[in-house]
Amino acid sequence: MGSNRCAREEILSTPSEISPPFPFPEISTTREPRGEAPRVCRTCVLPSTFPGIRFNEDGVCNYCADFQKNRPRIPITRERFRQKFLLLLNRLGERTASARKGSFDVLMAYSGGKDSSYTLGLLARSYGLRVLALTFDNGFTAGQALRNIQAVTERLGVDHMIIRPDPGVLLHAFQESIRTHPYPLKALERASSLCHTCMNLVKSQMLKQAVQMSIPILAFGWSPGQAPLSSSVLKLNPSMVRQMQRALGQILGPIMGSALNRYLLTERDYRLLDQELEDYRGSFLYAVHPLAFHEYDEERILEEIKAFGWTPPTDTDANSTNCLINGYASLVHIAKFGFHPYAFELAGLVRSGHLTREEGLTKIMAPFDGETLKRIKKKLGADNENG
Amino acid sequence: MKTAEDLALEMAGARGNCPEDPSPMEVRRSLRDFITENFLFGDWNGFNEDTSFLESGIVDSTGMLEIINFLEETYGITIEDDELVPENFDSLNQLGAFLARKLREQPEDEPSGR
Repeated sequence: MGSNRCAREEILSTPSEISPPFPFPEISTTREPRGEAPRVCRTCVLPSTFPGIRFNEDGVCNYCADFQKNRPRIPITRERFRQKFLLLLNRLGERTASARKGSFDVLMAYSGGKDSSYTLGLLARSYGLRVLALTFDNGFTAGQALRNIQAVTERLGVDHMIIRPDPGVLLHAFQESIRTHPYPLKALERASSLCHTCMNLVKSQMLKQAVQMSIPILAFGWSPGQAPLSSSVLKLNPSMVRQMQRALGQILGPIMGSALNRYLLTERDYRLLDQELEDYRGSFLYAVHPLAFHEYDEERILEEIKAFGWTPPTDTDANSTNCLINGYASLVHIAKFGFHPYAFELAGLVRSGHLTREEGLTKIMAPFDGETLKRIKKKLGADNENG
Repeated sequence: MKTAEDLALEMAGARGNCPEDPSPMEVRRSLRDFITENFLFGDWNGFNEDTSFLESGIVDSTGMLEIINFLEETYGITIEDDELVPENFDSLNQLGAFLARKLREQPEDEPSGR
């Protein structure tokens, strides 16, 4: 495909600014393809290159059509999960008050990006929870994101810990993820291989820490486009955790070898998990995505977190406010699969009215910073590769 | 020989007193279509109804969340915390059996989806 060749050439040449490999059709006229540009759904931002997509005669994709069917139930479901979260907090309040189990109510995956900064504020201030923020520094965290992490945790009065894995181990995992794309195709609709590897290690590390520190809730700042609403307050039963860890081992084991064991739960952790389940009388362990059942308005979020001392980084790509490798991972994904790894999330935000279609398309079409890409490629050893 | 899913779907079909209830065949087709379209990209060949979604590598942990979401949205069921175990979700037969049980237990005035 010509556009893929174009992407590879651009990745290799690294001019000062790189546009996505294919220009999208003009926003107002998306019903017919023009040249090699993919057709884009008339009501969201998914392109015709997205797996399994179909368009009706009005140029609307099957994902939008399904969403319309379920739309009337969304406010009710959102409220149901908000109530479920409140009920969980009540149960934990009663139980921890009597048992004074752990020192924290919530372990929050804190990248320093805008969504996780906002979620941290929501949990610490609006809900008044005892939050421990955990940052998994993948070696590509933007300098401004690290400064934001310090500023926001200090302003919110939140305890914070940072885990910085062996850079050599992560670098190898990222290089191999980009080279082999070891994830199910369905997973690659939602994010790049590199992002999946990073997020899987984050989630696994979160589980380990929560179990070892007896923290009953894991919180994530996933946007409403990333987290399915019906899974926004999810009980992690031991057998499901074990099965998911086993599946992760099958994917990352061949890439990471025994180094992966550092990030997976041990048998001792599973015994602890069983014990916690008993101590908390069933209310252990939950994964919560608060932004799925809360208002999500990007402007308001930015306004609020700026008041916490958060400053937007200037060297990340348009779809990340913390990670420097995200842009390169996105370009590789586009070159390999023909669609932007953020298209699915952005389409979800557009459908649900959290972003306008124009805003979604702008994020997809935003150019990548050439200087950042050059630095990342050098670090990955990808600066001398041939097309 | 009937699978656990067949038997369970027959039970689900036995409710049959609501015009919006899906028939056992519709439920079966809907589940299989969902897995085929979303996780197998249209190609059912080589896939077994007892194959573990997670261990075979066709579904990751977030994919599991999508399956849960699909069941709740499509059939109007509410999945309880302690039901979130692989025994209910990790193969087509397990999904079918679980869904049929939920549909049977669901109060009759609740919507049961398409």
